[in-house]
Amino acid sequence: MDGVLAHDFDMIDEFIARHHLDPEIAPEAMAMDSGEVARMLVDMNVPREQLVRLAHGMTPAKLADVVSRLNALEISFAYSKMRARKTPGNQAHVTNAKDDPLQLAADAATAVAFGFDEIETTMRVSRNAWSNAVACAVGAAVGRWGTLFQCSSEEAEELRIGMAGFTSYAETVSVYGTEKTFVDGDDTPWSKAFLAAAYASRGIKMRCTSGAGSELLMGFHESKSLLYLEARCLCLQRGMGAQGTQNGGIDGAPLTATVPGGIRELMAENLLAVWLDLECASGNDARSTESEIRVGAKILPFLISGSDLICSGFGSILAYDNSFNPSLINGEEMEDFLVLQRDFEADGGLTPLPEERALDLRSRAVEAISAVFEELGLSTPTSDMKQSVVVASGSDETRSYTPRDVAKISEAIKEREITVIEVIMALVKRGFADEAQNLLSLVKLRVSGDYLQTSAMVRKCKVVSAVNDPNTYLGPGTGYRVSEERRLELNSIRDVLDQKEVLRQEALHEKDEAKRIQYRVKGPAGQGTDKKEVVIGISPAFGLNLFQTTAGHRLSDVLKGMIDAIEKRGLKPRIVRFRHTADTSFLGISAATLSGSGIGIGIQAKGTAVIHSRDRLPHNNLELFSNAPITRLEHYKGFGANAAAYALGEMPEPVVVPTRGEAMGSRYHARVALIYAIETGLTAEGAAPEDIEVKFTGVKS
Amino acid sequence: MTAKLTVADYPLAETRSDRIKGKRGKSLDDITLDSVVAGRVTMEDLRITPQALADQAEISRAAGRPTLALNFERAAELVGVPQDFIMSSYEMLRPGRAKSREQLLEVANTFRQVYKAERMAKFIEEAADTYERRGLFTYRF
Repeated sequence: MDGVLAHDFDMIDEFIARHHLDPEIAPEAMAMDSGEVARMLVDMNVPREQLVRLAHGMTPAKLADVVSRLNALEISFAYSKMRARKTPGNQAHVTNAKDDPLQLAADAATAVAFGFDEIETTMRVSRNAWSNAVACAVGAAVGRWGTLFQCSSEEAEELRIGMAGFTSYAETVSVYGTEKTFVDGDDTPWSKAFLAAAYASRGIKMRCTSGAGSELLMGFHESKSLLYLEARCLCLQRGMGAQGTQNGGIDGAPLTATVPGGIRELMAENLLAVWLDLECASGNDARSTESEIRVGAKILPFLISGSDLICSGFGSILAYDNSFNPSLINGEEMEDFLVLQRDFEADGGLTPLPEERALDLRSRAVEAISAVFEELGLSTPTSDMKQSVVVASGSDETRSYTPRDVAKISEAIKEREITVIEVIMALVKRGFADEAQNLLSLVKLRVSGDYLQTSAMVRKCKVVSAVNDPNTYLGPGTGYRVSEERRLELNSIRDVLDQKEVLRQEALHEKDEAKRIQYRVKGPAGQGTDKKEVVIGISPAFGLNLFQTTAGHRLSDVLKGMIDAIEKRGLKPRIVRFRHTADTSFLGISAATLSGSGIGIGIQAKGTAVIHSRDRLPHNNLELFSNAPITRLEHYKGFGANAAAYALGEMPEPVVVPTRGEAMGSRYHARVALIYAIETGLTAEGAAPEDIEVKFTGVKS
Repeated sequence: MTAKLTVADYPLAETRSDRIKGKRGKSLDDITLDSVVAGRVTMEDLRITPQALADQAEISRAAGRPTLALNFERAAELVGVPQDFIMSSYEMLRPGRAKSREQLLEVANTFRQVYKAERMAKFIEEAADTYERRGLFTYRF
């Protein structure tokens, strides 16, 4: 196999040959041209099942050879087509720097409410495993049930915690691509396969862990390619009968990302996993870079192609609280991730969570775990401890348990052999019947074992897996699609700006402006004849519905600045409101046309302004302020002065508003579009201009 | 002989709940919050059974996942094996714990004789052969 004779097989070769390779399929699959198979992977007309069947007959080297022919885009597309379950999901890390159980419960409840299908915890101090497990199990039972939970700890301990009913899955069953690394990892394929059977025999879902870079980190890579070694790992996992894997550079991701083509390799190994019909928790776990651009680039292919678990550990908590080390995406980036889902209409498994709802759930979770601790005689947290946790964004802000306090609680849970049944009883006794029922429903999953099948998760109280929700992608319109209902959920991010919100914000300034300026309609505006006149043409909503520029300057200050500057040159400003247009250029040319001097200023409420001359074409103005968000009062004063200068026949230095490359479009265009719609909503076809008397009523800014 | 289960029978808890019983014969409907509070539910009632694993193996096979099915079948044999023996056997399968092929074969034999776990016994025998050929019965600590 792969150039090694049977009697030279190392234990990995041996295991793969015996348990992965299907001798019925191997002759056919191995004889196929790798380029042809690669094309089949990206051919939407070739069904997934056909490719999965071929993989059963392929060796690690053959599998690696095929996917190595795909570029990054093809890998991503093939991944989308080949992943086992149709509906995408996501997994969170829930840990904190103090192993504080109150915070774990609160953060678990928050993660569950965001929609994570799995949460994983681990400890700063290994003795605290039992406390962490109980706290997360209780927290994850708040709000809804169905989020699977694991407590990553030492193998034997992890299995015991599972047996006590607190956890529902495990993913720490690591495998390696070389014999020496495997032995250094203190296991063999047979010992790991034994563990896989042991977990299933206890009704606990299990996946393996592997990933490029681990052999390199552990010092025994045998000069084999990262992808080939990972292909060996994945064939082993399928051979062991694991339902799935967590791969794609887990702890090895930072190392792999430093190698040329490393990220493409990580994507390729995720593709290998799903091609081998394994559930894939597709890495995007250990933060592989300090660059935010590289983080965004890393996650995007998985967000748009979907994955059983997009992250095998999305840091739902702040980076410093992540006891696994920071994730690719942490609590700090939660909002960005939610916005990415919305932007691409891609389902990353999460749903925006309103702040009040989060606080309610956190409070409930903290009360629930406190009740359990009290009822079981483990500890009695004070109300100050509890309150500090509910509102905390991270453990730096809490006044709660220390790791030492927690060790005592944890050891008591372990020594007294407390099980989930006692926790459920405690919850009921203290009035947390919903949480008790949720926890019971989760533990009951293990009786039927439905969630042991490939890619199983729980959605809306039902087990959804590759068996009853298989990925059937066969081109546009097939496979997973974001439903209208789901699209609305994805859209419901916080702080959405709409016209109502803009008008609400403007109304806050209305009173303030009313104290400073009065606009009085004098009557229809006629043609000016005085050579000393400069017309300032204001837009339909100027001072009526809108009261400040996008830079935040009061329109009274802006107008006064220009008027004073014009008067300073001995000229006469005349204010005219136009309602036939809201466009800056036409406000400007209309003002210039009415102006006795032939020079006019046009200005919109948002602060965009133009100096125009009667004899010029509408879009060929004298001066323009197009970047209102960075235009300051002194610029408007200069604008007034220059308009006066032009009227006097001078040629002044144009006022330049310096830019520093600000992305003004991204920051202001949504607001500007809404503001402009308010302006255009007030225009009327052919409406006549009106002379306006402006009175400044004393309040100084 | 009853017909084999297919993917249409999945999830068993929803479509074939009549088949799902805990070790002490409790059905899923018997396991309620009330029965837990009344002290009528133990952890034993919340454990998977060999039958449920055999059923899941049939479903896996029907879904084209023969290796997953074999794992479930090995697991079915382990359901009744005490936790301590599971953990000590796992320990013996780790590199260098067993100092000889015979030690591992003894573990295999216990699975076969005491727990009627024929599949797991064979699996451990296979490991013993490979460990010997690859020199894994060696000093580690």
